[in-house]
Amino acid sequence: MSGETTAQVATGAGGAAAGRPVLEAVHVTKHFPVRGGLPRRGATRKVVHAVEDVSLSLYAGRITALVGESGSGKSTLARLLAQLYPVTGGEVRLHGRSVRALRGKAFRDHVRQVQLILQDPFASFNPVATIAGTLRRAVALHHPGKRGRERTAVIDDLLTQINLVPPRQFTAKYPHELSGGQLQRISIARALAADPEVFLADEPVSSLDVSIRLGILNLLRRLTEERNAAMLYVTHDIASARYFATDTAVMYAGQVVESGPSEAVTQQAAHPYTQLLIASAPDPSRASADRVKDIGQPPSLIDPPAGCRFHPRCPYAMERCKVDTPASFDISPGHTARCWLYADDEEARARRAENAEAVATLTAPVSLDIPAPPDSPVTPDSPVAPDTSTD
Amino acid sequence: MALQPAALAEADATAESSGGPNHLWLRLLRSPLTLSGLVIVLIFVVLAVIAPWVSPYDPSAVSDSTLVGPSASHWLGTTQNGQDILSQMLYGARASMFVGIGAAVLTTLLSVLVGVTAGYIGGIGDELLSLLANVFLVLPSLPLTIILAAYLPHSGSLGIILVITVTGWAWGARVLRAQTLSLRKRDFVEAARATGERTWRIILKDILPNQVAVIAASFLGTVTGAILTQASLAFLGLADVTQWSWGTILYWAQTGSALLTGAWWWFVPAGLAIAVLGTALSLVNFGIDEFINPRLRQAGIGTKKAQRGQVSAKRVRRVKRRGPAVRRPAAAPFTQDSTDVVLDVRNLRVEYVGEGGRTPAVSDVSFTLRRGEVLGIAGESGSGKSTLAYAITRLHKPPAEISQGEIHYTKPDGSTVDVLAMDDTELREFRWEELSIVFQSAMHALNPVLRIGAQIEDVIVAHRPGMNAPERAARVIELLGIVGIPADRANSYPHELSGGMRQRAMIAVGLALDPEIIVMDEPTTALDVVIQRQIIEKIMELKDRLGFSVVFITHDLSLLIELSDTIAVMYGGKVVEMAAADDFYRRPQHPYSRGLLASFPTLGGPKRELTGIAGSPPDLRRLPSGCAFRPRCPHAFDACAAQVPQLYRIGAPGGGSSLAACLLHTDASPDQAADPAADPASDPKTDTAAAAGAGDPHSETTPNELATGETR
Repeated sequence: MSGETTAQVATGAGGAAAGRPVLEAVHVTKHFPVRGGLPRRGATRKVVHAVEDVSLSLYAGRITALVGESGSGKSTLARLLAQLYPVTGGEVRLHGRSVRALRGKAFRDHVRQVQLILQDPFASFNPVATIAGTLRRAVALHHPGKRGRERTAVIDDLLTQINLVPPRQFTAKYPHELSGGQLQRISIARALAADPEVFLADEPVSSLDVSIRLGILNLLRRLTEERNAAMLYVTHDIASARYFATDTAVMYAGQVVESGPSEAVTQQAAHPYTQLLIASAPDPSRASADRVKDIGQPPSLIDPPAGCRFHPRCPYAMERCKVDTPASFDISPGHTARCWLYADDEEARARRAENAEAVATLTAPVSLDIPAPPDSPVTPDSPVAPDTSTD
Repeated sequence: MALQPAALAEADATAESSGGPNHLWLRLLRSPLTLSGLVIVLIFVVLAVIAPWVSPYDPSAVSDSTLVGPSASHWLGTTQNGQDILSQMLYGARASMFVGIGAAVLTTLLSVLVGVTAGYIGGIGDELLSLLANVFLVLPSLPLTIILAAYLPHSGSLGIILVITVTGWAWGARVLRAQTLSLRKRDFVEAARATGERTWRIILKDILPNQVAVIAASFLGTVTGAILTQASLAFLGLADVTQWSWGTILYWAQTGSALLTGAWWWFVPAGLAIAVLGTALSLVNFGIDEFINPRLRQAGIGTKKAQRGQVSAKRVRRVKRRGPAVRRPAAAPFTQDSTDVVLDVRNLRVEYVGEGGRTPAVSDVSFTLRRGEVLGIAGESGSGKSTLAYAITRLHKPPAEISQGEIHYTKPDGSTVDVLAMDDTELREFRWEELSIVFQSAMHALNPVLRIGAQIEDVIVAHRPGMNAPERAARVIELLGIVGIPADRANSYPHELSGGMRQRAMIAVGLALDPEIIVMDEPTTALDVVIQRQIIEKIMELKDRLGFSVVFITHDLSLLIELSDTIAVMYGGKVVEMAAADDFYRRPQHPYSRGLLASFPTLGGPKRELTGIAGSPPDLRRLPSGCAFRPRCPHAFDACAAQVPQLYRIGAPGGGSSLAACLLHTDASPDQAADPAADPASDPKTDTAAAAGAGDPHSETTPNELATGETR
C-alpha cells in the first residue's frame, strides 16, 4: 500500500510491558462532512464534530468502559480505533506505534489484533449464510494455513470457548434460528477467531434480554482475563460500567468529560454531566428523593457550543464555561474531570461546594438494613467473585 | 444448584429448529406453482437441445403436401411450401431459447457488474456509472432496438443478443445499485469488514447472496423479454429470417397470409409456445424468493411489526352526544387499599392461530387496575407483555385472537362495560376517550407527513365534533404545554423533533381526550436515560395532576420498580408474580423475579453480587411442560415438570402480600378458586415450601438471594 501504513505485525510481547497501553487514542478528532445541500461559495463546508480531541488508553487484561448517550461519539471512537474510518486529527497507536491502516494488508494486520463486536446480534450476521459459513470465513482469514477439517476443528473450539456446546448443534443453523444471546456469543467467537489483543465491544448487550446480559458480560470478562487482552466496553448504561469495567470514561458531545477508576467515577462523580447521567439512571437501590432537574438536550454537533459543550445544560455553569474549553483537573489519583468547577479560584470553589452539597446523596442506597449476603455459594461467572473455572 | 448444563449453554431454547425443511429441493416441492413452472421450462430446454435428433423433417425442406392441417405425418401441419411446422418449432425453440438465455446472461452480468460496483464503491465512480445507466434508461428501448438491429441485419442470434443486452442492462443495474447501497450499510457487512475481510470477498459472500432473489428475478424477466423481442424483430423482418425461430415462423406465416387462408396451425403453435414459456418463467419467478431465503415465511407467531397496528384516528361519522361529562373525582393519591377498579381483566387468553396450530401468547392472565394506579408489567421478549397490551386495547390483529377471558371497564359514573363485547363504533369511542395508547416507537406511530399539532387536532376533530377551530387550536396548545413541548413546535413535522420530543407528542395525543387509562408499551425504551428520566417524571406529574391510571409495559424492571404502584411479572405468557412495587423489590417471591432483580447492576451502595439467570427466555411455540421457567430455575424439582403452578398468595410479615406462581409456595393459599391440580400434599418439597411461607424465606435454598433482605 502507501508509505503511510505503519501497522506492525504483532510482536508477541504484549504482556511484557504491562504498564504501557496496548491501544491508544491520542488527541483523536473525527469530523464527518454533512451531506446534502448545495455547497456555497466562500462558506466552509459543514461538518459534524463527532469526536473532538479524545485521548483514551486500553491496557492488557483490563476493561475500560466508554459511557455516553446516543450521539456522544462513543461508537465512532470505537470504529476509529478499529480503523474502519480514518481519523481527522490526532492518532491511533497500537503498542505505541502510530497506526494508519485503512486498507489492504496493513488493515488486516491491524484487525488481527483489534476486533470489533457490534451491538445488534440479529443484524450482524449475513442472513443467507449458516453460522458455520460465517465462522469459516473468519477462520480462513486469520488461520490461513488451515484447511477443511482443521478449520472445522477451529470452529468447534471457538464455539466451545463461548459455551455453545455441542458446537455441531449450532453450525448448521441460520442466524434467524438462534436467539439474540446465542448470536452475540457467536459474534464474540467470530472476533476470537483472530485471536486479538484488543476487543472493542460496541454496546454488546444493549439489545439483549435483561436476564441474559450478565452471561455475555461475564463471558467477555473471562476472555479478557484469560487472554490478557484489552477491552473497550462501549455502553450507555453507567451502572453496568461500574460492575464490569476497571476504568470508566464518560463522553458528552464528542468529548471525554470525566474518566477514572469505575468506582470513583460512579460513586464520586465529579462532572455535572456524569452526575446527571447517574441521577437519571433507573435504579431502585438508591433513595430517589432528589433527582437532578434537567430539561436540556445534547447540543448540535454541527455547531457545538463554545467553551464547555455541557454549559447550556449545566446548573453550575460560570462565565468562563461559556468561553474557555475546560482543562482536565485531577479529582483523585487517576480520576480526572474536564470541568471548571475544579479550578483553583474563588468562584469555582463556591460553586464546587454548592455542587457537592446537591449531589451528596446521589448514590446513597435505599435506607434499608442491608445484611451482607450470606456466604452464598459462588455462582459461575459471578462478577464480584470472578471465577473462571466454569461458565 | 440444579442448574442444568443444557440450560446454561442456552442450547435448549432453539435446539430443534422450527421445522423449516433443510433441503432446498424439498422446499421447492412444496410449492406446486413454482414446480410446474420449472418443469415446463425444463421441457422447453430439453426439446431445444435435442431438436436436431427428434425433428421428423428438415425444417427448411419443401414438400408437395402444402398447407395441410395437423395430421399423422405432419403433427402440426405444413406451410405454404410444404415445410413441416413441428420441425420448424423444434428448431425455432433452439434459436429463441439461445437468444433468451444468452441475452439474459449477458444483461445480468453487465447489470450486476455495474450496479454492485457503483453501489459498493460510491463516490465519483458511482456517480459516473449511475449517469451512464440513467442515460440508457431514458432511451426509448424499442426504437433503439430497431435501429441497432438494422445495423446488424444478418449477424444472426448473436447480434440480437447484443442488441437486447445494450438496451436492457440499465434497469437491473439501477435496482442492484440501490440494493447494494442499503446492504453496504448493514451491520453484517460492517462486521465482515471489521474481521478484516477483503472487499471482493465481501461483495461475493455478503452482498451478492443477499441479492440473489433480485438477480434471479431480473434474469428470468430478461429471458422472457428477450424471447419476445427476438420474436418481434424476426416478425418485423428485422432479423435473419432464414434462421428458424418462433419469430421467423410468425414472419413467414404472416407473409403467407396464414390468417386469411385459415391456416391456424401455422401461427398458433409459435404464439402459444412464447406465451407458455413466458408464463412458466413467471411462475418460477414467484417462488424464487421463498426458495432462496432461508427465513421462510414462518407460520405461527407474527412479528412485532405485524402485530403493531396503527391506531387510526379516523373520523367518526356518527355524532354521538356525550352527556354532561362526569368529572372524575379529584385526583386522590392512589393507595394499595383502594378498591376503585377501572379495568378488570379476568383469565385472558390470547392465541396466535397459525398453520402449526394455536400458540398461546398470553394465557390465563388476570389483574385489576385501580383508579390512579400505575400497574407495571415486566417481561422479556416473548413473555407476552406486548400482546397483552394489544389485547386490552383490542388492537390485536389476526393471527392473534382472544380465545378466552373477560375485560371489564368501569366508567367514572360507576357503570361497567364489557370491552370484549363492544362493536366497532363503541370501540372507537372507548379507545382515546376512555383508554389511550402510547407506543414504543413514536417515529412509526406518528404520521410523517402531518405536523404535530395537526395530528393532535385530528384526534380532537374525530371525537369532539362539537368543538370549533379556535377551541381546538387552544386545546392543542394546552396539550403541548402539558407535556412540555414549546407551543411553536406545533407546526413541526415529526422528523424535525428529537426522539424525546416525539415521545412527548405521542403522550400529548394520548392525553388529548382526557382518558381514564393510558397503556404505555415501552414508551421510553428507545430513548437515552436522561431523556427517559424527563419523560417519566412528566408522566408521573401528569398522572398526579390529572388522575388517570397507567399500564406501563417494559423490560426494564428497575425503571418499573421506581414508577409503579403494583408490578406484574410475565414469563412465557403468564403472570408469574404480582405484588406492590415495594413488596416486590424487598421480597421477590418467584425465582424468576429474584433472578431478574439480581441481573441489574446498581449504582447505590456497595456492589452486590449479580447472578443473572442461566439459559434464555422460552419460545412460546415450545414451552416446557409444567412451569415454563423450570429449565432455568435453580430450585426446580420433579413436580415442576408435571404441574403448571397457579398463583399463590404469600403474606408478608409486615402486612401486604404477593402473588407468585411457583410450587415453592404451595402451602400458601391459592389466590383463585381451588385448583385440584395443585395439591400441596403431593409436593415433595413441602419443607422448603413451609420455610418459604414462614416469613424467613429461602435463606438456605436460594443461592441467588438478593442482598436486600427480609427485614425492614
